[in-house]
Amino acid sequence: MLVLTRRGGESIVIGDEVRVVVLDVRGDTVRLGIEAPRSVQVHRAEVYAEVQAANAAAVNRLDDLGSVAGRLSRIARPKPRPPAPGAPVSPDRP
Amino acid sequence: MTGTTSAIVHDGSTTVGPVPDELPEIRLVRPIPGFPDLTRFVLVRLHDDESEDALLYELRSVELPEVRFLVGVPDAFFADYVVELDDTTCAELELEQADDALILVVLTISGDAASTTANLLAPVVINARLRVAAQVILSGTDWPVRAVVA
Repeated sequence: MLVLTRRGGESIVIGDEVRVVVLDVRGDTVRLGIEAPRSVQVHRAEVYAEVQAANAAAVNRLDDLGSVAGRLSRIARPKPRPPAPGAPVSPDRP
Repeated sequence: MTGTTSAIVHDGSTTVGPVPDELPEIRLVRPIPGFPDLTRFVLVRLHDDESEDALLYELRSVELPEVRFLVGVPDAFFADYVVELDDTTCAELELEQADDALILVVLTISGDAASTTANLLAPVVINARLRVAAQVILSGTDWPVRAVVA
């Protein structure tokens, strides 16, 4: 790991298109600004790791999803349907 | 800095047009976290999904057939789920309005197949018209990664 020491207001450049700025430092909290092209995703490391882990766990290993699909279909709520045109609308009640 | 204003809010009240039972190859504009080399997927409705409106699909990798994800329509299970997509995501997926977006959440089945959780923090957002998609991490929200479905 490359280790650099920066003060508030100083920056780091990564590659040609990513810049990390130390905006301010208060106690043990550092506020960072990140400039990157929109093709580069920036996330808190622990959030990204959590999504990676969830995806790895989600890879489906069942060939027969029948019982799961059945159970989920039964608990699903129906999509609300818009009222048919011309349907009577009940008046507001006090 | 890229813009962070919400360009599209999808809260289940918008009506997505008829969703096909199968979407021919979808291209991921960014890889699914943890699967950096896979960009080509197909979306197939489950045979056993007998609900009137499609609830459950499998998102299957074209490049690695053993990689497949059970995904579901979140509105059917989570009444309060709201997805806000920022300008950057909308631009990447060429989404112009909420109806363009098909939002699906990755479902994890427990080892004993007795329980299922949904990843509400990182939905899969699909532009069904252009067949491009991305798993979008909703940073800054506190939607759970493992919301209990059943």
